Amino acid sequence: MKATTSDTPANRSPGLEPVLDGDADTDRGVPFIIETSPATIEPGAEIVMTAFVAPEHAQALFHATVLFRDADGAPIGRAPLTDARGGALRSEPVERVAPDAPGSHAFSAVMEGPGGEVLGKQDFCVAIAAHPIALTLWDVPHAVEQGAGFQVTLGIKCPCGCMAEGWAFRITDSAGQIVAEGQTGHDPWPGTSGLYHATVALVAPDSLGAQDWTVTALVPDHPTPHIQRSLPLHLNVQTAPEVTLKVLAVDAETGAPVPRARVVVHPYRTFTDAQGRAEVRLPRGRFTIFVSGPPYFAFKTTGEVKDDMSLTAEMYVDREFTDADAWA
Amino acid sequence: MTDKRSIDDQDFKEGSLNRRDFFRVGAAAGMTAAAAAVPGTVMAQTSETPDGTIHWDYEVDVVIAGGGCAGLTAAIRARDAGASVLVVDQNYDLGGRMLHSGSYLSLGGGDAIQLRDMAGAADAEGFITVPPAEDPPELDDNIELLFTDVTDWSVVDAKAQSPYRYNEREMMRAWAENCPPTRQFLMDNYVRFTRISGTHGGGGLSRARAPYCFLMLGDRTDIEAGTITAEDAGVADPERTSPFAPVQMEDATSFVGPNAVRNGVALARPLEYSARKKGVMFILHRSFNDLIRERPFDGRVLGLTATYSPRVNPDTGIRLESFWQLGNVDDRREVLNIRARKAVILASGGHAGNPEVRSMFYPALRDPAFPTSGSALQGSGGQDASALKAALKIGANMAGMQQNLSYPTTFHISSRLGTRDAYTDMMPGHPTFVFRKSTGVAVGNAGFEEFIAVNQVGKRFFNEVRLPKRPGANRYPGDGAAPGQGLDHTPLDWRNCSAEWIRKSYTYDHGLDAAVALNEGSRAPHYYSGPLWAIFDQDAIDRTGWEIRFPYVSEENGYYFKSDTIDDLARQIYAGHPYSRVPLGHLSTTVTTWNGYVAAGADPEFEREKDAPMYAIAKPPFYALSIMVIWHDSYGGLRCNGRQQVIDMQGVPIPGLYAGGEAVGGFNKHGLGKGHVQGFIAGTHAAREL
Repeated sequence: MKATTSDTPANRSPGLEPVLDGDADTDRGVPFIIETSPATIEPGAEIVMTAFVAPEHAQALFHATVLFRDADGAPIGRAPLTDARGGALRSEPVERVAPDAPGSHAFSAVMEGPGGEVLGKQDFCVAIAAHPIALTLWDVPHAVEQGAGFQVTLGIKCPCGCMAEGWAFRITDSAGQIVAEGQTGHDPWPGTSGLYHATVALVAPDSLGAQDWTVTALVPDHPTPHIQRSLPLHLNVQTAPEVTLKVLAVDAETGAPVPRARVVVHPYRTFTDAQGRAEVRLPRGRFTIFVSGPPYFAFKTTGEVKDDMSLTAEMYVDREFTDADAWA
Repeated sequence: MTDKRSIDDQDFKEGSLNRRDFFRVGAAAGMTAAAAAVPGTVMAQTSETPDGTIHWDYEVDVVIAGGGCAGLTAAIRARDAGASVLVVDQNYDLGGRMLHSGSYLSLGGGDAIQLRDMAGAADAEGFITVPPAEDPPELDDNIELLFTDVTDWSVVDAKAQSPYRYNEREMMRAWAENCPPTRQFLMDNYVRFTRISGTHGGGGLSRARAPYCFLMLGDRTDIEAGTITAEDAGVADPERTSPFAPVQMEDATSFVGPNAVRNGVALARPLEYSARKKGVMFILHRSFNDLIRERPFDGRVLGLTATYSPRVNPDTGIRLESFWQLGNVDDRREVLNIRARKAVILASGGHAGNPEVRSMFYPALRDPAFPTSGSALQGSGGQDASALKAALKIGANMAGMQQNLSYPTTFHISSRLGTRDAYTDMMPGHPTFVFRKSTGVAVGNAGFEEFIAVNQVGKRFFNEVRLPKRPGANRYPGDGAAPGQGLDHTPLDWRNCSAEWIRKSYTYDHGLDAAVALNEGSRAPHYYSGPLWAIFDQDAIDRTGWEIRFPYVSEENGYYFKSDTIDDLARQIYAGHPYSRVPLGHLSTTVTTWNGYVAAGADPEFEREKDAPMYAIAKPPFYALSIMVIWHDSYGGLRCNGRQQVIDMQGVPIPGLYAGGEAVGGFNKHGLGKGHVQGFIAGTHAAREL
């Protein structure tokens, strides 16, 4: 549970005070109202609760504190009342993590006097939206060759703990045409606890350049309502490589080869080997070439690649902050 | 390992003060029966007791608040002059930040080490076997040149600030004149210096003036012999720090010879050893609160009050204890009044650890999410502005407060991620590791191309690869903005600060300022900018080989998170980081947008593609490591004269009150050189008070 003392709920203007009911309810004690924000609360997201007391009841609750309770009656936060505009009182906002279960939750609040005596009670509803779906997409090739096949991996997870095994997804191209459909598999991705995944074989379009397809995790057939989630699939469609760029990465000062330097010739990328060498197959064209990796400044050059060519990247050590700069 | 009580009583007797005299008044828990003399009171006028009486718990000649570089130096100096000395420190051990410093100690003016290296000579013990690192002309220094250097109006740094222009002239003159004797004094108290290599920030552009301090690896730790075991030095195990050395000592082969190690341990521990041996007494675990003066804004300073502030291991509930204990007074009463017959010396540090005070200069850095450097070692009482607050209450003046903004690295972004104490690389084994629980992952400047950096609501705020960049300090030989450096530097030349030159040399990126700017999560009344996060994926781990494991990261301290999805990561950070006040509501969209930029090869928001390659954040699991803004040290402070007497608002010294180190303002010098010399001066004059 988080607790902070921020001043104003996020979705409310600081100067806008609610209209308060001035009639006392003998069963409920001194009346007050509770405001929650935001209006639509996602499962597990932040909920901000604030109590307001009308001016005519301020005297009765001047030294009171408000105690919030969740749907199970468990106390979840307490806040003192402070002066608000026009003689009214308001509590410090109490921020908490909302429940995971979608639907309406009956929370309550109690005004307590300095000795713990109950001065007023109020019930209020917290409406939790349907579960979101987390969608992740990886192993997308940095460049795909026009008309060629390629693979991507996608993962689906319900952040609220619903098991996403066998949940359906769809991939559509930039024209909205379905290019693939499928379901997640039976096991979570290694290293994760609930990210169910699938590897999808796709075919690159013939048109060159950047294209955004869409991956959509569909609403599952599940007792708990969920909200569909989409993610762009960025494709960089290129012609078949024609030339080879050979890169040698060396330390500018010592001349020693730099192994495992990253060679990025957008959108193509690779690493140098133990001898500091790398090869990148490219279509002819103009490229910016980066060679980088700790502890070096990134080497950068831009130029036209017309034929097979070689490049030596002299890399300079990025001066770390030394003792001389720092301590002493 | 060294025995914690290796300074035995035999050592202590020689030259120690009379314990009976020390405890002439007051009774202290933990004292020996012989030392517990008759309790009593001393009549005094104080600002807090207008009826004229106060109970003194202890009475000595010189009371020093703070046992760091200025405090220990002043203590030994005053003790050498025959004064009884009591040091009060808020921490469980001595040394302050000096203990985990790099020990780069810039003095000069023709000091003994400059002369030694000019002559190409070795040290007296013959440890140094390498030739001087600087040529003789670069070491040919004198007091006039040093004084000129540290008051040079014409020097402007790469941040277009003036590092020397606003220094207090009288104090600088005294500092320059006392640099050579302070160097000798330190050498006389078991401090050994390497070859000189360069000069520290704020130490001038004309000459090389700074060596490191070193010890030699050996089979036992013996301060007098100049040796230290590999275990005590922290070099026996790369993932273990020793209680003796909170930061693992560095190899000093190039500055000394084989088997030499260097850092603040080789400075702080010898001074502590000497002080304890000579009879300086210490009350640790005790925060200095207030000064007691005869009248609120008039008369002598009579003493100080200090409150018990034990540093307790939060896991075990056991109080931490200093490595050495000889001379310690274990008094656990809540509040003590300590009388200083001659003087009080304020050496309790600056205000970098006090967000409210430092925000006087930069309100964006009021956020307590960002600590000062070495916060685990020092604890919450470190650099808490105690000297400034106490002295202001009795009428002291301030100096050079604006200099907090004119040292180029006063605050900066660390390239060590995943720990609150991101300035040091402390490993398990040190008693204060429990306060940080992780060492952090040192990614270097180049590592910032591996991730996106987001603020407390999950939004990017700057070109990541420029965040850790820091402008160089103006110092010899340095990479600051001065057009001429070393022998080529012409002091007091207007060309040093011509508008044309400043335009050419200005290199400040303002990434830090964007990092602490208002964002959607900044709420009244403080409008905190909130914590910062490096967000990356499994591919980044595979690219870099970063070791995302204990002790580099901890799953317990809220500065590292790992999740299946970006959505989960945002939730975990919000729920688990102690200073996460608002959800990272934008993180998922930020990552999706970023991945689009990577695919397109262009970052229209911050133009990352101009500086370094970009990588998608796509492959699970996903990671978050904290990025820390560190307010390193402070430069404004109490105004002092050439004797390090604290000056009041009328320009008059406050009788019986001295100050040194970061508590003092008006000297825009980084690091130890300021503190040691000011401690030397303060200790000298405090002991001479009647």
